[in-house]
Amino acid sequence: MHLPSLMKLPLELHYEILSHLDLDDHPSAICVCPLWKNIVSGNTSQELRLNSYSRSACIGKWFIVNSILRSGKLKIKLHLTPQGVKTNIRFFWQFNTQKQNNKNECFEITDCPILDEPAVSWPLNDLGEKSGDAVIYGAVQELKIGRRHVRKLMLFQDRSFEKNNIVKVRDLVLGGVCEAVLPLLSDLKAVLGKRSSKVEALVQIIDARIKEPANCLIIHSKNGAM
Amino acid sequence: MSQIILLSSDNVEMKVDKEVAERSILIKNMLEDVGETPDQAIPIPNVNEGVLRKVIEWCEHHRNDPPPPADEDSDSRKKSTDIEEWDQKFMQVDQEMLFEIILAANYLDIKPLLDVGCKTVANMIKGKSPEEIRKTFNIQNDFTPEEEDQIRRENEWAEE
Repeated sequence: MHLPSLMKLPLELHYEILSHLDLDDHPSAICVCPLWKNIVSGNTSQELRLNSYSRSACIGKWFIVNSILRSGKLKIKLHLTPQGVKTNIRFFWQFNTQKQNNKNECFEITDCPILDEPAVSWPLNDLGEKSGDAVIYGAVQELKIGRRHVRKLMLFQDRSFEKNNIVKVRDLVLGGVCEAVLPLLSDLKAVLGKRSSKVEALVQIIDARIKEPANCLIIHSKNGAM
Repeated sequence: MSQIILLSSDNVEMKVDKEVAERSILIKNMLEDVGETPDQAIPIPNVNEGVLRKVIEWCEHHRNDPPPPADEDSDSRKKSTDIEEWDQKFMQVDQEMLFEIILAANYLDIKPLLDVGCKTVANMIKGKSPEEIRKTFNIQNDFTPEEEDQIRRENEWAEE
């Protein structure tokens, strides 16, 4: 049988092509064939993605982040210390249904801040008012550092960034963050799919991952105190 | 204007201006390494005559393009529909040729041509259902119905 010519292209060119798709087209692309599924959802080998195709890989990675966030099953919390350096960033994972005592510096991102829209949300207290915690806004900027395209998540204390008067509070280079978070996300996704003893599994995974060196962030289980 | 000779995989010689050939970073680097304009034909073993002519045609048209800005704006690169008119016409070829051009641009390291090619393919993907995409490119559906169903469910969020 005549091999479809598109499929004759080497892997890196599939990355090139798919990197030009808008996110709206990712769900369709994922369903086309296993190769594209792996590329778009970022399941191919870590080395390949990170070394050669950081831009495409970035899209794949955040696709996963986005789908988990949108599924409403999981939220990410960033814990920033006053120092604000990368090693002081902690990711918290929790399920919607769980109540959590928010500390002042726990910032919740309820929508995906990774894509195009800034995340604008903060937990409300029982009266429906914003809790005493500071509101934080995230916005994402795509930029090039050296030869790599990275997405930068910028967090803001107010919505001033919307008026082009950007007050940058902290910024994280997600290119680096991704590297440590992605394996965790993949595992989480698998766990969430099974719907069984999620919390235990989650903690297990997180514990396992903590033992792995991550040069830009430390992952704590949900009660991981600073 | 000095000229060089390129030799396609099917042994056809083509004379081109050095400046045009140097749109290919592979050739440019090679010429720099050699240091002088070679008299002999430069073999391009991965590219046949038809494709090489097409690539040269593109390089001729874009011979005076300014080099891409060092700090390439990633936003502009992202917009796939954004292909200039001449390039769009240039890419109106059958799929076999389109993919051959992409392969050649990749091999010869002509990034702007590679981008145009990949954008053209991306545009053929956009707005289509998985089934339509498979049909367009004659891709076999390697998923079992169960897998397909699962993938669809996993990605439901995006189809709101």
